[in-house]
Amino acid sequence: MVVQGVKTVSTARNGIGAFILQCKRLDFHYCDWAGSSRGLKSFLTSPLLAEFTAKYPGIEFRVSPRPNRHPILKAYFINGREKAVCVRNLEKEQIVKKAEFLVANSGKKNELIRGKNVVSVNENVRGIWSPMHGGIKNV
Amino acid sequence: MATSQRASRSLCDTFSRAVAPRYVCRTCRSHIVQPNVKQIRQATYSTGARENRTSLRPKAWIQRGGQPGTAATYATTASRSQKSLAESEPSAATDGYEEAHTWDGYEEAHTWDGLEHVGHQGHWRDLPPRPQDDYEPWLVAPAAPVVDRNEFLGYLYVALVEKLPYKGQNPALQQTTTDRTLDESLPIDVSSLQIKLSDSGTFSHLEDKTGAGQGKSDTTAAEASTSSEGSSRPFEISVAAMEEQLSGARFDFSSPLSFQILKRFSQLSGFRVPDPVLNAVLRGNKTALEFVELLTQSSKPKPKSVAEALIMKQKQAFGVDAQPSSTSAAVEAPNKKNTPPKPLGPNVMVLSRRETPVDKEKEVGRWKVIERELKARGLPVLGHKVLAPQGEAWNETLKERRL
Repeated sequence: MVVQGVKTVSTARNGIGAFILQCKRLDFHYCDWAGSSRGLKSFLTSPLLAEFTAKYPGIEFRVSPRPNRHPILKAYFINGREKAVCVRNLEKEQIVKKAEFLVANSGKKNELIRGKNVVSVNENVRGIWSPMHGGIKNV
Repeated sequence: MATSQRASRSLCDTFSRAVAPRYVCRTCRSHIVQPNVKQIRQATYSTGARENRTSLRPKAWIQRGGQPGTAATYATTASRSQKSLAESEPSAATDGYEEAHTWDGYEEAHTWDGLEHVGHQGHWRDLPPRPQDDYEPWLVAPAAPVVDRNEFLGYLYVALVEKLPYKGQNPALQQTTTDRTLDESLPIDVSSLQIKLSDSGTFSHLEDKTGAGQGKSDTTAAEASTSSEGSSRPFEISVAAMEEQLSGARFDFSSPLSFQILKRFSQLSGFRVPDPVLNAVLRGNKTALEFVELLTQSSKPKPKSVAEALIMKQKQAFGVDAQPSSTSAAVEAPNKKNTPPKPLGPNVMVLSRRETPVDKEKEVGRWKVIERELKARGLPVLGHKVLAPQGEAWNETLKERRL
């Protein structure tokens, strides 16, 4: 008896074959006057901005003032959700880390996984074990 | 309870009186003699308070021996208050007041004759100028500031020609450097002059060129005038010739001549040399051409907002706002700062103002529908200001360049 493989069509899953970033747009909002925007302004006027944006050509970056408000980074994800991070009084290196976090984020709601079993959606490539097939030992 | 408290207090008082020493120092004695505030207040605001107050005031300087203006000592203050308490009767007060009027040095004013002015005269800018207010400034700032490198170079050259000592045969240049100006009265051929440097590379003096007339080039000449008023005779000398003469030249900041040159340069250009630029030249031992470069950079208006700075950087990166090639050639060793910044990619959009909900509607194309409906209902339509993302302009520039 020949072992038959499981006939199935591969489902599209991010990271298998291709990885698409879930973040589609990242906004940098700053205030020209307020001191809490000092770090973001130095980030925007430094070469770090050009390096960062060149690293992610598939993401739209917008730089716009938001007067009399603390500086924020606002990410828009392809699942329709938005996430904003306040970067008041942060240095430009810290802001780069926050931007990296948002860009790499899935856009889903934050979920506490403690105490939950991790269930895989992948089927076993070996198939279901059967005592009647393969590797039968003669005692 | 209250009786016991009173009893204990009286016991403490008697005990303290018994323990206290017989001897009292002078300072403490004066303190003891001085009445407390309550007593003074009672004496002041008793019957006939107004008379008492008028009596106390002239008494104050009568106590100082009739010398108004001399500072009262602590002891006199104490004794004065004692006396004022003692003489608080109305009869005594009237006597003191009369005594004050009889003093020879004081004359009561009945009119305001002799006063310079009565009341506030107004703000100083509203008052007519006095002769001592008139002055001639050493530097008049022009309406349009100089931002061109070649103009700065020309003004520096003129300042050098005017202020450097001359060692040659031309009698028109033999006069002292302070009197020498390149005006119409002086028949000076600037192209025949050569700026000589000392062994250390600093400006030394002016000399005649060996082959006169060689310096005049047929190329496009930069016109440099001696003053902004236009009263002087403009002369022509090429930028290349000026750069050739000034290449490698430095300022000697230990010499007062450098101050004269820089002052004249400021007068000609109408541009004050900023301290940071002078500091950079002094500390970095920079050449005259580098000084001109620094001046050109510092004279440009600084961007006021981050959006403006980003737009300017982007223009620099694309070479839209690039300086002429002679600028980069003039600097002997270009440093890292002169390299153009890395441009932002086409995925970056810089907005010069806040993105409003109207802009969001416009972006998705819903605004025209909203506008039409607003007009149909007779409602005002706001948000006409177009949010022009600056990214579009430079993306178009890039596309044109690629084509």
